[in-house]
Amino acid sequence: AGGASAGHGAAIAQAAQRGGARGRPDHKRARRGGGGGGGGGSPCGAMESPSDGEAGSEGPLLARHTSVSTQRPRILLLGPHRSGKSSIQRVVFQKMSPHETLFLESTEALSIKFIANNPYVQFEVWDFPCNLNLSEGVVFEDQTLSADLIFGNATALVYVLDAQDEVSQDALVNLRNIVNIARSINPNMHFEVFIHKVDGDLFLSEDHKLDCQRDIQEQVELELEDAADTDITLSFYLTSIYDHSIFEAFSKVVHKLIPQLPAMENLLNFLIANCEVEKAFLFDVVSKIYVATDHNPVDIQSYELCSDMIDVVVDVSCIYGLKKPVGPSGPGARPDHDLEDDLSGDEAAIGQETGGATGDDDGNRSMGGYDGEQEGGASSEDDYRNPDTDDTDLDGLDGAGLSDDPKLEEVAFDRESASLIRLNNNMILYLRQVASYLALVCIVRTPNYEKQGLIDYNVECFRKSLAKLFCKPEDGDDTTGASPE
Amino acid sequence: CLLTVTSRLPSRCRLTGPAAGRQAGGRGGEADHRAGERRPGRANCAPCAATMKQKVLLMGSSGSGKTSMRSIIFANYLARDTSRLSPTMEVEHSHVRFLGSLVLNLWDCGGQDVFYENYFESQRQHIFSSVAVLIYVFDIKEATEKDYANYYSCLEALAQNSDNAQVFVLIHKSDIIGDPVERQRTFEERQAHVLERSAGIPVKCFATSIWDETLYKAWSAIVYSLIPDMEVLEKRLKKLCDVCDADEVVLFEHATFLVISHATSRTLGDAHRFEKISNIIKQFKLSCGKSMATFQSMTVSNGRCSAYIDVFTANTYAMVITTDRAIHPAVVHHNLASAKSHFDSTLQL
Repeated sequence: AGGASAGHGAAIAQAAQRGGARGRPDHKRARRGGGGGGGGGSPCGAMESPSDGEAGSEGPLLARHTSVSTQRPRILLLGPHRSGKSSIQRVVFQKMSPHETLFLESTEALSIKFIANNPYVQFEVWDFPCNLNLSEGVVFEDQTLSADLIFGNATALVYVLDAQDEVSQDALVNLRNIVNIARSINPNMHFEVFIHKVDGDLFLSEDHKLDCQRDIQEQVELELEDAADTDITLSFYLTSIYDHSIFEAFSKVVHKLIPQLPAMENLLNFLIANCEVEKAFLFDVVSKIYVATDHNPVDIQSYELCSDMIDVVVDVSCIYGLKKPVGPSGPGARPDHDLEDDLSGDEAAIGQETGGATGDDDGNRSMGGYDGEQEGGASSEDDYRNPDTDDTDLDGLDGAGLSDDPKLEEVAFDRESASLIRLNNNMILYLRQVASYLALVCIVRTPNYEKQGLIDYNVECFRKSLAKLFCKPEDGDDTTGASPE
Repeated sequence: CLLTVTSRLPSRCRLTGPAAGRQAGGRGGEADHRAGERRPGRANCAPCAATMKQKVLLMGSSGSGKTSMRSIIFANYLARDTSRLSPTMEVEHSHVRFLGSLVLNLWDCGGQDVFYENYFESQRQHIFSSVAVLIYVFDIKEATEKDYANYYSCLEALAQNSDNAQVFVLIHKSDIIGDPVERQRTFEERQAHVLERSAGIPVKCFATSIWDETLYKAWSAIVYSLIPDMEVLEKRLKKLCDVCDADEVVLFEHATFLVISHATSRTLGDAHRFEKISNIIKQFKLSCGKSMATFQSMTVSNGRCSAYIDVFTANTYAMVITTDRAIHPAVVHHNLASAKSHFDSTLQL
């Protein structure tokens, strides 16, 4: 894995070649998220096993991560062969188009991704290979991790089952063993079962899906009640990477990792009561899972609508809301990329499906994801990604202060990002940034939206409370140098 | 001698016999009087004010993607839904209203060989007369000699039966080639072939794919060529842009979200931003449609700029981009509302 920016650039070039076709035409491909590659010093080191063959991000912060961290909450993805674990992780956190997951190879070794898109909710996703022998421990880089270490601090275990195949006895036995071992080490673990791949011809109607869930649920519960003495609660989710169900399911799993969740929900409840908002979501802008919501039930259509709204906001901001990269001064001299109408422009337009499919980096796209329109070649993105300086503070990701370098590109989704969409069914969608890459999306009825100023003020209060809740100095100050409140 | 009465010959009158010829020649210039002569085949009537019907032919080899394109642009299909479309039989007619009174008469001609034979023989005049735009679709993979021969015949038939028809060639399914450099190279190769076989007729080529915004770019160019009075529209739009102190004002057609016109006062970076925006908003519209709603207006802002999209005239949306933070969306809204009436007359074709 190349640590130098040169290796970085190569990784970007590779990412740039992946044509992506998500279900919808790829306006989102306008972002070459490849530049994100956790470039130089982002806190999101991709601790990937070398067999992945993709550029892991390296930089000074990675030095802290060479030993497997026991502090961060983690989600373990386990399951039988080809059940879809890696696809899930790529689609949700790495913006891979679902159609491309067909080309993913089997995971051969454990891969750990640190997802830290926003400063408040950060966790690791551990993607295991299918043939796991826990008693021997799992090899990761040069260490062998024992079951103790794996399950020690793990907070959620997700077992992925392929709904299109018959559930094999092996899979069930495997699940039972894992659950037993895990519970003995960590009695507080959460167990989730994803009944995955509920799309396609077999599952055209809701009834089919529910039948499938019932069957599998029965089988699993039967298997587990034989083995365990105390009762184990498992949550079952029907998921598919071709629609929003996987995002919803993952959102719910992530909720279990956040100790501050009840407080966040309380804050949101106050907010919606005072602003007469129908529903509010706190979205992680990069992965589009929601980290918190108010107590009203979640309607998947509203969730989808809000998720699409975020897409629109980010895409439009990327097109219009960025400055052109400044000339080749400053550290890590960027080539002066002028956005030309010529060949490179055309090819960039034609080849735009690159941004999304960033299989090569970790979940953190805060650096590269929204930075700059990619005309003229793949390297334009990482030009200002200087591996030698600590770039993480650029958007206050750590909340630890700002980089004062005014020559570095500003990001599209910044402190002032906001959006208002009026629909013709008397609903208004309202979005505000409340922390770096964390957006509050509210659905309000038009008659209740009279006093915009008041709502804005309340959201500011909410933002401050959130910062206090997580004990971080308030971030969201971009390089304009505004002082933190 | 029959011709002494008048020196003017009625247009279609063909004098038979050698005597006539001698007579006409004898009078020298008289034979040149051709008052009121009309060349056959010209579309004689001026477009009537109420509706302007423009005939647009969509042709190309079988399976090249014509119906898919049409469905996405005009019928709100999602790209992935087009896999459900079946081959077009004969010619499918659709009348698409564009900008209110402009009606695009879209002839989606099935590409199978048997249909082509029909086109060039029995239905030749019927199909190729009064055409405003011919769109010919090639697959980016290698086109056969037969394809090029069909293309050439189409151009020929077009030249014979219609005047001033514009020709656009779309090199489609360009997403099949993953590498952008390779894609550009292949596109240029095809373009060169096509231009060779175009018998000198000016042809505009585009590489397109239903999976990205290139489709919108090509179709925007096509409808742009169909709109009359473009200069007037652009001038007024520029004025609006100046008045609003905006960086850019873009006009979209409300159903297809194709870009009709734009005025820019400050060059912004991305040369392909229009089609990208078309794509983005169109997708969002479809997404709202799932929740049984449509969007009326939208504001997206960040630290640097603000984009405001709103309904403009009866058939258009306008997008105003401002980088001056002092400008409030309400002001833009007000300006657009006031300017609406000035554009109604221009856009009422």
